[in-house]
Amino acid sequence: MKKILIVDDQPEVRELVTITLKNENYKILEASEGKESINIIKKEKPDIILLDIMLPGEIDGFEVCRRIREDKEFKNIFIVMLSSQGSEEDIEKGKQFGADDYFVKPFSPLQLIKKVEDLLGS
Amino acid sequence: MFSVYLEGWGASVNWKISGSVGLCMTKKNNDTAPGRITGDIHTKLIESYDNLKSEISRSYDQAKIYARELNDALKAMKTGDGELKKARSMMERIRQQSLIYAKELQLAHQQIEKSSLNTLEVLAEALDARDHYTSGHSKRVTDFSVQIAEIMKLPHKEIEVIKQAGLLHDIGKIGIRDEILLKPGKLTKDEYELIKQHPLKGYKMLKGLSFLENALDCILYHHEEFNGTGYPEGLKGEDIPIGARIIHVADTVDAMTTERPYRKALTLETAIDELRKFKGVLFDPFVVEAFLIIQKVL
Repeated sequence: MKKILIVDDQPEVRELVTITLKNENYKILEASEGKESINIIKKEKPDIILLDIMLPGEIDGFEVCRRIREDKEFKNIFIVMLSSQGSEEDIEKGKQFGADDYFVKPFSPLQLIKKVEDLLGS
Repeated sequence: MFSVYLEGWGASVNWKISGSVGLCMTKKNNDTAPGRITGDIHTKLIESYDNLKSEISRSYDQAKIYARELNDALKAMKTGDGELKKARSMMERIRQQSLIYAKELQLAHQQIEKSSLNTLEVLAEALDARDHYTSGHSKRVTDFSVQIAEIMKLPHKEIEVIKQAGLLHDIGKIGIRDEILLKPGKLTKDEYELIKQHPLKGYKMLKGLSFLENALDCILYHHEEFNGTGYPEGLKGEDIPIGARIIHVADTVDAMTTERPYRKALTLETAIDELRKFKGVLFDPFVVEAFLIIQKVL
């Protein structure tokens, strides 16, 4: 079973994403902040990370992305950034840090399902 | 000479008292020895200054405490305000996200309804195509039935059920052999009995499909007559579901006005005459009236 990690400090967003992808037979993992997410990534090696940029604590989404991309072991993980502002800057910065794609909040659940399917299918 | 300096919120006050006040008072009072009086007043003045000083100092301490408390309260308010703003924008983001979910859910629901109705239409077409005499029959019966139901002001949900049942009312004929169903001549009694099984066959076929749940009875009873002489159960009057009573009328009209292997199509006028004749006997009178209104003959 493919694993998807959702990293977001808002429990409601994590719940919505979980509901969205539940029917598709994926294992959904959750983290509410950067440090926790890195621990889970190391332990579980998810196939996709849905990563919010704004996270509480010392490590934000960009930093999580950078650290994951530093490690060759995780080079096959797809990283999709979630951005509340959807500013060009954020998107560009995300790309520089090695994100594969981005989603602007609020996002369409149907598009999220499609994106996940596309990434896992390729 | 002394001075008290007050500080707090940036304001300051200076108190300066000179000896000349005492001197000025001695001159006015001639009855008593000036030196002593001056001394008394001086002592009293100094006393009251001291009192004033300690009072001011107390007030100052008090003011400092108030200032500190006010400052704390302001700080708490600012933090609270910030938290409130954060919570508010968070809630707004969640609200936006939920709205998108609700919208897509609604679209998905509509799509499911539409595609399940399309499936029924395809099924009905497949049935009608088996016999060129009945080509388009299910669709026409459905259209008549929906029009009647609308004239009778049935609730929207009921009309949706009638739409389903109209399309599928003859689906049980799938289970009847070609030699009988398509027989050009007159049917024997046994053959007719087999044809009469189609409502029950359809009912049994579709039973278990939850989205057709409410249409099942309309399919099962669409050959019941208003006076209780129909089949399969011989139900009477309003014991027959309204959808079945409507489909019965629509079905009869369409059967009469289309060509059959054993006869030519009758005219709509003839069909209307038949409806009038058997109104309240074989057909629900209100359904017949609704049909006559549609045909603009009432």
